Amino acid sequence: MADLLAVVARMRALEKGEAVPIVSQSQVIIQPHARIVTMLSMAGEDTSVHAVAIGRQGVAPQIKVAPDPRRRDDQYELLLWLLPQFEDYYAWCRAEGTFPQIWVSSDGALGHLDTLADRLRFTEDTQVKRLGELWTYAGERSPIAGQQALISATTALRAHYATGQQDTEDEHLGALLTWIDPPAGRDILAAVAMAETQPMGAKTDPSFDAAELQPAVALFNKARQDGDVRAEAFHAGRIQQMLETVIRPIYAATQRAMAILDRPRWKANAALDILGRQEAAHFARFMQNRDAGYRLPYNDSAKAAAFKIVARERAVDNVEAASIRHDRAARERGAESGRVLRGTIVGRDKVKLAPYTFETRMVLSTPQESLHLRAGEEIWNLDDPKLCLRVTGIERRGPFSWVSGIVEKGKKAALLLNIGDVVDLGPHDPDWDASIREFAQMSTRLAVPPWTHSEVMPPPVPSTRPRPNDLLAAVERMV
Amino acid sequence: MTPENARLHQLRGGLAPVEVGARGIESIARNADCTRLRAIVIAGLTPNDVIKHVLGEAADVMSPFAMTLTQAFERRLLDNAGGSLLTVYREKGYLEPQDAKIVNVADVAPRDTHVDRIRRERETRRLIDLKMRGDPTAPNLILKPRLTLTIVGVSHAIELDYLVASDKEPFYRAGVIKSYADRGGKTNNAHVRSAYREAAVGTLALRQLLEEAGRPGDLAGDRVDMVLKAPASFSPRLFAAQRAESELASLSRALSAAPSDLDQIEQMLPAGASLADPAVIEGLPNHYCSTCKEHCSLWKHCRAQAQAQGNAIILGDQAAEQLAAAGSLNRAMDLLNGVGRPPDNRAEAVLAAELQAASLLLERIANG
Repeated sequence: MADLLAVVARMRALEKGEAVPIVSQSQVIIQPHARIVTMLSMAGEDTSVHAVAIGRQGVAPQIKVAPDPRRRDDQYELLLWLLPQFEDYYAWCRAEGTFPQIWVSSDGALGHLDTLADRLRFTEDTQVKRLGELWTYAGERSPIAGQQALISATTALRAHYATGQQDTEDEHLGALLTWIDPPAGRDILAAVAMAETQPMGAKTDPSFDAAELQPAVALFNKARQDGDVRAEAFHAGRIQQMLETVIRPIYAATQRAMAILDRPRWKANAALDILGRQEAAHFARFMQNRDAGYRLPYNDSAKAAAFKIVARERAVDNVEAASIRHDRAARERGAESGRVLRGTIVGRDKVKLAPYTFETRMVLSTPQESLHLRAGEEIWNLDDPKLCLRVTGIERRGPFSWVSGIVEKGKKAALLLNIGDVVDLGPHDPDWDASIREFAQMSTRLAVPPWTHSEVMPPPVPSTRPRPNDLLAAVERMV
Repeated sequence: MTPENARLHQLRGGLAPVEVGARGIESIARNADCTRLRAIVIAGLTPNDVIKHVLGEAADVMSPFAMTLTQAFERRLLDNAGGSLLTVYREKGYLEPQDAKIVNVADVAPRDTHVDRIRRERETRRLIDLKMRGDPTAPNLILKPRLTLTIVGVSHAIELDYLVASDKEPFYRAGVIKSYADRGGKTNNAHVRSAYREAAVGTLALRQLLEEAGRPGDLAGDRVDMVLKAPASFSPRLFAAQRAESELASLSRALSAAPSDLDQIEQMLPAGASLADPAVIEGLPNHYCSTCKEHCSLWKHCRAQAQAQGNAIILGDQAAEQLAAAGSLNRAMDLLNGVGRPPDNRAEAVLAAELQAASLLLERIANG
């Protein structure tokens, strides 16, 4: 059903000729001070910035163009123009105890910024290197679940809307916006096809390059070579104008995406407050590490990679736990997929085990078919974090599953519930400190690199324990 | 003209054949179910040619900036008798100091003429024969070799970037040079797979050549080499002897269906019709999917056709799979809305119930 939900949303969008909302609450924080960064690279030169437009929501962009970014001096001039903008912005965020946020048009543009960050922080120029380091914060955060530092407008819109086209086609911001705000009286598919002709990523159109940009760049380089200052300035101006016609619509579309996501239609989402606090904490740590002079390597060591993988996995769990609690859509999807038990209380007993020792037992029934539950698992009331139930048994009776368990925490809260009440139970509250505890444990265990990461194979150590007769059965008993 | 060539000439309907090359042949494997693409490639055309010469539209072009970079990187590796390429192989230990024999086939016959193309083919074959005979003078690096791959009984020429083998190795591996930056784990995996498949086309050609010479085709192995560039520099990064079994398998599968496809294609067309007719192109069955945009210039046409036909693929691969029981998007819409004729079978009835339940859930989630 969860998969079909996405398909039905797309069908509805196609039927209406307009994107349909798939959530009712905000899925992303929009920092009022967020920077919109639109950059164009030269085709093939992934680590170049041919033009950049930078600004904020509701503010016209400042634009800077490097006539030929393949020349290092031109490129560095543009990058050094950008550095103070980010340095000041990061410093302001730090002073305010918040985090910086960068909005780009699409995942392609996001990848371009990440590529640049990786490249620039290894240049010899200390200022350009500093810009690379600052961008690395956004780049490193971008693959982490729930991050709010580097936002692709297409990803943010797709978290709120479904369109009547393919998922990959949603990566074109112009097409996506056309679905969301379709032009009146026009066929939506024709309007989308028209929108797709306008570049919205990090590169210019190859035919535009061939017909206009490349000849202009060639003339600019010739004028420079000939020492013709007037011609050089003239061609630089032409290149600026050409690139502005490309970059301005991308910047404006990103602004429009932010405006759409800022509409009052989207209700507040408490999960985002939690994610915002986490982001601010991450940013503070990142900047402290820069102050302390820790370097940012291109490739992580095996140990650092292990830590980062654990952090990412923990982030996925925590974001899911927070969303299931505070985001109605995530809760409903969880109930559909069976990660959330939505059950009716059919039994509740307080059993005396010994003098002054009681146990509260509960039985819930649910029609959910694909329930992801096992005996021994602890599930928490999603609307009252005090109540925790340890599952002791799951039984399917006809169209219903019966889940019985012992109340581990929140016995008083359990007694306040009535027979017939419907409760949602799911994973524990997000535990953001868990990774810190895990890191401490991993540090000890990984103090010596394990044999899997060394050239020497350890000698075989025969087990002293008796071998079970049925190995498979023994393994299954462990589960 | 061989009978197959005559059939292909008829299929092209007067359009000049082009060398589709390894990249063109590789594209067939990306969408093996697309009869339109296969017909075009097998006939010795490319989707871009069809766009330009048959449909009369502007063809896709490569950015001159990207082209300059690609050519410059290739020159950097292959100029000076392939010195840079040899160095990177030595540094990585894939070639020993004595493995220094390099031949650039393009130097033998550099022009883009019919005669020179044949000379390049012959020279490549002669050099490979040396290796097959175990001749110690066989080159370790053959730059710009020209091989042939027979599909539907017709030879398709492919010019690879290079072939490599140390003196100790029994035969050559195909190698490709790409100007993508190597970004470690962040390198686009689709680009890497595509490069491997392109090299794998060379491996298939080597296998055919070995088999023609009465040698086991397996001698060509299942490994390919790739050279990328370091980010923001022209330093080469070598990925030697990379496993390409899956790329070889997908190519072999796609190409093995080709002989019967030529018959099928001819049967699909009206008598005397050819691919030079836009109506014939539009009439060939296609298989539009989400990855077409990456490699086929005809994707917009195929998408428009899929939209007009109400093919569920226009909503994505997941929709096409989930709505398969309905047969078409229009029918799926009817089942969703509970209109039209009642479900034809149990599969449709189940789908209708699930779609309606999902729709209610969507309503609850989005507007709740």
